[in-house]
Amino acid sequence: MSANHASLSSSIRQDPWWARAIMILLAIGFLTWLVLIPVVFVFVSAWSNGASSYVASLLEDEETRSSILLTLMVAPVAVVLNVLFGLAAAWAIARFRFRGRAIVIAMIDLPFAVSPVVAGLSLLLIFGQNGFLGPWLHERGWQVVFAFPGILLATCFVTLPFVARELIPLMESIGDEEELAAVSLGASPFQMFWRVTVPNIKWGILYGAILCNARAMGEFGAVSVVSGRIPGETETMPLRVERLFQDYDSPGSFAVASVLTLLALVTLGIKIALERQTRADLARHQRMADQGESA
Amino acid sequence: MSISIEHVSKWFGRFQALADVNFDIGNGELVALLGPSGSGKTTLLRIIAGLESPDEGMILHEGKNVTWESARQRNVGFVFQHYALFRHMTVFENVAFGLRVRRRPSKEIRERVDELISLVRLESMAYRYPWQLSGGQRQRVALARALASEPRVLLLDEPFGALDAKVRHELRRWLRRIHDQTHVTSVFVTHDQDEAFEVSDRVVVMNKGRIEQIGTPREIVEQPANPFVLDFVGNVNVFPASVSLGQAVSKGITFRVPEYPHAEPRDITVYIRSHELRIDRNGIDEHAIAARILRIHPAGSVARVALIHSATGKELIVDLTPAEIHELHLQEGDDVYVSPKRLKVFIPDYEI
Repeated sequence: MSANHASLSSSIRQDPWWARAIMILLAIGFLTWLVLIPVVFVFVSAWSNGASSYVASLLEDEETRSSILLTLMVAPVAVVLNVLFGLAAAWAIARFRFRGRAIVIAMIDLPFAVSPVVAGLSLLLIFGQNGFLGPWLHERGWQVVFAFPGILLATCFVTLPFVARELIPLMESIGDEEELAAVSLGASPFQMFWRVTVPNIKWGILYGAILCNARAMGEFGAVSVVSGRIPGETETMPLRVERLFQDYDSPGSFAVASVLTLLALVTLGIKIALERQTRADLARHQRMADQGESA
Repeated sequence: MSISIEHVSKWFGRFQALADVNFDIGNGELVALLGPSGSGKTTLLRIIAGLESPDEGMILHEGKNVTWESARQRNVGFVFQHYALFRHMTVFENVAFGLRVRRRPSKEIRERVDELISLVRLESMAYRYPWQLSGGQRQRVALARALASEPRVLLLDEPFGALDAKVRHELRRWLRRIHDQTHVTSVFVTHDQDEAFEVSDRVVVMNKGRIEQIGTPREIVEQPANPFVLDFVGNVNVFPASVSLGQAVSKGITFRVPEYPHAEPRDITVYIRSHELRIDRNGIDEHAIAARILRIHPAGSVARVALIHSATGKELIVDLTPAEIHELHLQEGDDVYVSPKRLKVFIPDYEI
């Protein structure tokens, strides 16, 4: 095995220097022009008129303020709902064998495959004025589309797979023996869940939640369709960025964009830290499993 | 606590894991469920624990029907095959778990856990995590954890299966000692006959969801009830033969079987355990089997000799002590005579 490894890595080292140079330049070139420069440019543009104008365009515009608030409200609620769904789905799939299990697994991935605009439209078809449930809801005075619930539904739809995707393989690899052990030791289902299941999957939940949060704050297509884009009411940050840009308010647009980008960078930082943590955890579990077999 | 298993059956889909199993376990007994994989022994153990429910039949504890009580209500200790320690808890917290979920006072928990940790001799490991322990240490934590809430029954699923031979032997003796100290009624599952015989008071031999024989280790070894038990509990030489007039004939090999004096030839199977054959330099009588030694495997206290019957090419296995091998100056390639000290005959209506 180790001999194989050595020969493999030495064959990589034998690649001609120019091939390596081209690969590295290509990778760095793409990253620089497609990611690094645009991101830096967002901040440069946002700050180009000075700090005071930057702060002013963020805080003095009533509608911008409201869009930031709305996004900061929608994202956490979507994350909480997503965690609940993810736990339930992962539990069902990892712990039970039932008819239609494969279909459920495929359905969880559906929101990744469907275009967000289509997702938004389908929500309109159900909850809109002339939609399937729209009139019934309207009679009872419940406003879904062009309001907070609609934005939340759209956000939940596009972020649905994040936590479940993270937890299913994790729970399958951990197995149910520890849970059975807890039950055999007299734990109630509730005690088993909080004392055994949750500590084992907490990093997975957090990781899924972080990814979900990033996507929830950045979602444009689906929210754009169901929100009605009423400034100051149903406009989220991504929608605000686009409106300001269309209205030739570049400094304002870039200011909001820079806040979105900053949130994304913070998310990225947390994600990297969490990945380190989960990798360390996994390595420890792996070591335990290896020892269990050999000892 | 005594346990009764009455007419228990269990199906997994169309596969019948247990078929009308009946037996009783006495208070304070240490019983082994012995059988090959797929014999239903683990399923039975889980049903006794309440981790699985039977499709038919009842489980009684002290005469009280507990079939529909949960594992929590039954108060059993269960030791899992792969330990199933809580990986995010220290040894101390693992052992304390059963007491914490029962909301015992923390002073009592500390005393009880300390007591158990010293019982399993892990005092210096109390604040380590499972991944910092060896396999044998993990197994001991699993046992201490199962004993913490003073269960009325201790159930162990292949408790030593994942350990290396030396640790396994130590832990076997140690489990027996713990049992003699605590007197908790215990049932353990194993596929290893030596383990079952060394540790338990009684052995239940299982096969294909049924009980083949129940008895003390000595009864099982000396009076196997049927070919399956005979084959499973030891290396046997099998000779399909035709019997008449007190002689069983199998391809030129003749055995004396005075218990079948009838004239009408009948098909039977002769079983001879490897340690119930002897080897001589000269044939002791006209029925001794002329054979050549193929290999001699020294395996600790017994040496296993593989021979080939010169006339038919049938292979024979004989277990001797190293002293006997030495006395006879046996070498590979020697021509010798093999004869049975004891043999067992079954009319072949069983499948092995």
